Amino acid sequence: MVSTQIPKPRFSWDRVIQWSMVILTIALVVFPAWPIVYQSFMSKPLYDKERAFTLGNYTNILSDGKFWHILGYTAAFAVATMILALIFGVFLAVLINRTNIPLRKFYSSLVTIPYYVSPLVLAFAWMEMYGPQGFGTILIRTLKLPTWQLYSFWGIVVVATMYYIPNTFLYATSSLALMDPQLESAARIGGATPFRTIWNITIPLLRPAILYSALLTLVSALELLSIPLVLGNGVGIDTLSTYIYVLGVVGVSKDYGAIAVVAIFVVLLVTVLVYLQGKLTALERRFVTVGGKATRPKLLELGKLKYIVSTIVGLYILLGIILPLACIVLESFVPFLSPFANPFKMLTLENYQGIFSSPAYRQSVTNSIYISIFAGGVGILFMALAALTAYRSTFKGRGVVKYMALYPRAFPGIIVGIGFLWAFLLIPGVGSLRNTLIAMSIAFIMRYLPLGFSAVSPAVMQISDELDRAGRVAGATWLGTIRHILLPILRPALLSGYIILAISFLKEYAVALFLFSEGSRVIGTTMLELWKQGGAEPVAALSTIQMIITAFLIFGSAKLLGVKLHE
Amino acid sequence: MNRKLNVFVSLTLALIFVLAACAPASTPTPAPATQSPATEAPAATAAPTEAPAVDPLAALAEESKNEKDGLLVYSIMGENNWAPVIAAFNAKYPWITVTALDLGTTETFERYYTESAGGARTADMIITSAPGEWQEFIAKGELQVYHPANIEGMPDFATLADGVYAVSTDPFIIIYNKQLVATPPTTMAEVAALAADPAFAGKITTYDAEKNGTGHAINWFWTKKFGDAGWSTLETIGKSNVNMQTSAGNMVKAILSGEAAVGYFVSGISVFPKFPDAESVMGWSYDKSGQVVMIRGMGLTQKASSPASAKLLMEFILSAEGQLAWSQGGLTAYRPDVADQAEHHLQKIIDAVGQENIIFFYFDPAMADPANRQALVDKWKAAFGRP
Repeated sequence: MVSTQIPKPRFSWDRVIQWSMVILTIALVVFPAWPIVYQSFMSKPLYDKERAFTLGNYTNILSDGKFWHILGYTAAFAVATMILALIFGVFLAVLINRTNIPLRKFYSSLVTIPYYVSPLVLAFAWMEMYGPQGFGTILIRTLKLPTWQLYSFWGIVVVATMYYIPNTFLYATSSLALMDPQLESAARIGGATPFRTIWNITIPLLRPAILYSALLTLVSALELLSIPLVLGNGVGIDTLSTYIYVLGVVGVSKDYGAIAVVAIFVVLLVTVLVYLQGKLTALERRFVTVGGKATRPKLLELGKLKYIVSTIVGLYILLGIILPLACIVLESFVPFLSPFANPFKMLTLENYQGIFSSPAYRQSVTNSIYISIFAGGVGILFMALAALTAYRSTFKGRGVVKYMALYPRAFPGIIVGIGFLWAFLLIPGVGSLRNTLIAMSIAFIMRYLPLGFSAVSPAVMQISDELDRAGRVAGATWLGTIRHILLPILRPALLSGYIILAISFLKEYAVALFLFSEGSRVIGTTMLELWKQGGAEPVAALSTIQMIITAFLIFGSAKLLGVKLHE
Repeated sequence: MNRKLNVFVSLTLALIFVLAACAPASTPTPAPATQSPATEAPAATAAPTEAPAVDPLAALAEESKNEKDGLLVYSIMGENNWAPVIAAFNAKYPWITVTALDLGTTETFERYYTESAGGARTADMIITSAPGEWQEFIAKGELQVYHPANIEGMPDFATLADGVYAVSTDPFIIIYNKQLVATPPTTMAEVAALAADPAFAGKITTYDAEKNGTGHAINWFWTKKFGDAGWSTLETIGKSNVNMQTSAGNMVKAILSGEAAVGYFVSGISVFPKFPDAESVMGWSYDKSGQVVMIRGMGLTQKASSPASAKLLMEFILSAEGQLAWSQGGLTAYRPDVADQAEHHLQKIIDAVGQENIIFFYFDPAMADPANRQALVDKWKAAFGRP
């Protein structure tokens, strides 16, 4: 996959690969970051010749009471979302993968659905179902039961949690798949109840996966734009990302200096989080759970409780995922969705015709598919090599790779877009790439570097290094060990990482917002354009198309490659 | 395992080749002549006004054949608005490939500034509504002044500045949910009266003047006309916990679902396409006391690499044929001699509310100063009790 040639003993490809990993991860972060740092010290936009050095941007923002208020609000939102997503994600993963509840195979494919749709779509879907005039809300209201306010702090937290649960679920699942089931069996033989086994053995063993997804959820929620925007905007709720959006994209007075400062602030915040995460996983080696031999995991018997648990999981999937998304599909076939009009009396294909009749919209769909397939493939290989360099080499630059690979999470998508746009325009020689899908692909890979890296890392960390040593003892180079021992073991993690990356590329919009030009529209930019122009229905149609492509991706890879996104 | 991998790889490659084969067909090669029945009729009526302009246009057309980059427009209109216009334009000038990006009101300029500073390919023409930012654009010397022959005989408001001309004149209207509102409001005063009713708390929606450039400009021109009385109307409405949106699509959706009962300053071009389907649920009205009409301005850029093509498009947009094409695309035409043929035309608004009650956008010099723009935001936020 990496290179088929047998490494020559004298010339070391190992160092070449390892050095390139260090340089590439640094470059990917620095490339779009330097215009932002530069901008933060400039009095005027970078395009303005009258710009001058200033510290005013910093003093303005840091003395702005609104900024601190929003910061506190965002932190509360991100922490609440992280905790809820972790609890639900881990428990769902354990219940579905390790207990004998009925329908578990069926559930395991449904639970991850929110992962495949854009958060924008999920927010609309919940609005349709549980907003003030949503079908679910109206049903509860007619039953004279108390209803809720979706457009509130907890409303936003709940929808964001729904969006992030699959994240935790997927990491925990891939970790479970590699875990040695003998440990659980030992506990059962020792007399522990199923729940005690889960609590004392399984969950502690999941700690690397939990820490990774916790960090990712936290940071990702800090910069999540669409859910707070869709649900909170109307009632005046602001988070850091909607604040940046207001300052920079839609607002009346554009203030690039302020955007840059806020962005740098977020970067610093995340730096601290990444550092803490590093401390917490300092004892990574404790979590070696894949040895040279493994047996099939034995399911924990829940007895009669299994029906109750299964029903609860089923209701969660039905009410939280299926029904809201069904609303979106329904919406794509009607001129408008309203409790005042019977949707089945006005079914139409107009929303789809509108999309397919436009060359530019069609092009955005094919562009997205290209980026998913190619950039996703290049991306996952790159990220896997980065993870192997970081965790499976004695190279002294490995620490740099480890931190740099997680850094891009610190950059809100909009900022990544602005940064890349500027970098492509200002650095001589790369300007001609800007109008191509290559530029978009690089930006997407940069944005999702932490995602792919973290998807592969837990799997890498769980492989006992006695396997590497065995390889090295037999005379293989570092690269040879990777090629012949680690990559084959990592294959399931790599393939599911590839699909996850492809899906993420398919639904990304924030990065493309600034970067796209006439040659590089993607589904995300078209979706936003349609939303701005025509409202929700054409967006629903495009979301449905996006979900269908994603479904093809998943089922195609499952049928032909045996890829299981979760065991 | 390996055989499966091979199958997957070859299938993927096959898919890519199929996509690649499709790609040429899906790159923007606008099909001409599909609009022919609609566009031929006005061409005949337009002939007298266009006649004197034939010579310069022919010269431009020759010149445009040497412009190999195609024509790039940064606009605030969507694909559906542009489609009939590009089709009709290409029927006349089939060699010009038009690419129109749909961007935010001020993003059109920001993109241009960024790209032109970096020496990259950028817009030949900009179409947007933001009066303040247009004036900054002119002050920076980025406007390439062109005097189109077809501006002859157009109303005065069509010339926003020397070199910036109106594309369309679009109304911002009052909409309401018929099931929730017994007496439909037809003026802002009536909206305020409804807002005073506690039953409508949280049930009124409009543009966010802080977060949306269009919302800002509407509030600017409306309060300019009505002064303190206008502000006190807004304050009354502001007490009812108004639901602020950044796109008209959101407002229409809120009205249709019943989340909101009344919307004011709602972009008509997002409302009209919902009819007749929405007839039983949604109603709309012009504001008979003062109807805000947004003017989209167009101008050429200094860094245009296809200036002749851009000039041709500007002439075409001002022509009878171009105006009718915009009307087909959902925008409001204003050229007087197509008033009878255009589905959406300024004359219909004038007939409904009276010439004296129309509040046009114009390049108000006070708007050129960002401090003034911010002052309106602050006053607006105070009126609506927003932090």
